[in-house]
Amino acid sequence: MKTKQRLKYYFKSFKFFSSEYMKMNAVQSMENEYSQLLNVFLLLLFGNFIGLPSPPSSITLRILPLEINEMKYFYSKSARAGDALGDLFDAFNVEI
Amino acid sequence: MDLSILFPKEKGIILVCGKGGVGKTTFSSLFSVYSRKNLKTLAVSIDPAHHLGDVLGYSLSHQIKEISNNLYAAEPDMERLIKEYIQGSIEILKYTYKELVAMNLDKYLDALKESPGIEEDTLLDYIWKLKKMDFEITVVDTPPTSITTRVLKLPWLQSMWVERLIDLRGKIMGYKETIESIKAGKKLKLDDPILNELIKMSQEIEDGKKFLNNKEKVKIVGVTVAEKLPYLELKRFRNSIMERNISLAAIVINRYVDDAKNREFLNEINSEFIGIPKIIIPFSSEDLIGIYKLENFIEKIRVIE
Repeated sequence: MKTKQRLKYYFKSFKFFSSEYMKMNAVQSMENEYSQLLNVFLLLLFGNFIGLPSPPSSITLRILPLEINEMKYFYSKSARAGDALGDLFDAFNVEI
Repeated sequence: MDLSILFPKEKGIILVCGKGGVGKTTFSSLFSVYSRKNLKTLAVSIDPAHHLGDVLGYSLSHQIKEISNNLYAAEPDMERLIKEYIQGSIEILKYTYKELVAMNLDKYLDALKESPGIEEDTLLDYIWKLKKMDFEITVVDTPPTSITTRVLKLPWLQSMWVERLIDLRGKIMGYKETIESIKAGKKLKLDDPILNELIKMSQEIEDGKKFLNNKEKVKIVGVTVAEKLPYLELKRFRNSIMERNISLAAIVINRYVDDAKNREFLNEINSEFIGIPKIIIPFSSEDLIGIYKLENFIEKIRVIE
């Protein structure tokens, strides 16, 4: 009986950890995709900063005030452009 | 058939278009003087090279003023319009981006006034403002066709961009919602001000497109003279706006002289622009300046099918 309960506990724990692990993996890959899509969105809107064609200014002008947080993120990302190690740490959520 | 064919059913805008120097301002002035007898009329020139005031015989400015009974006029200052157009956004940005001085955004914002395309954006915005004003008819003397074509096509360009941005933003928010819901362990519904603003913009653009496509509310008049280049430009202009389902309401043939060359030209116009009324303004040996002279000249104008 004791062994059965212990096994049940182990299986339950394993199930919990594996599902949490899978959930974490899924969230992480989704966060990466989210981050990439956000980059594309900001590039589409404000690509003229780096010479890319951009939407008519009537659109960007109205969106710009709402983009403060994304712009901050974009700015910090651009500050470490070309820093592969930084990106790697970022992907693994390592904070220094 | 007379000039009243251009009267809108309720209230509307007449956009007078054509190559530079063909007589857009002359027709705008003649028509405004004619329509004021029946309708509360506003005549505005959005051509940076303003001559409306010269033809009407009044000194006009940015502000709309009544120059004669039932006739109002203005010559908006382009720089001022641009400033007004971007001022609101600049103020919000300068306030919210205070801490981001490192980005030199202030300089960028000031440069917005000179950015490519801002003139077309501003002109379109001004047309939307005109449409809301309390005039039964607004006669707009437009810049040469190249600028007007870009202004008229702008809502479709905006629409294309906004739809793509909505699509992308929707996906981004989809990811964000899923991630936040997994983390919170319950289904979350997130509100995104950017997506809301894009949707709002999309609705406004659709309204603008519908307005430009409404032949009762927007009448586009093409002006030409009996010469090859203005005629070819008018044809190109017609073809270009037709792509957006915008059509010409009438064609004005200015400085018409009843000779073989002009008659042949009229035949060519008739065969090329079938079903569109032609407004024939005869050549005037004296300058048509001032409301009195314009009013007396109106009876010489012919309108044919």
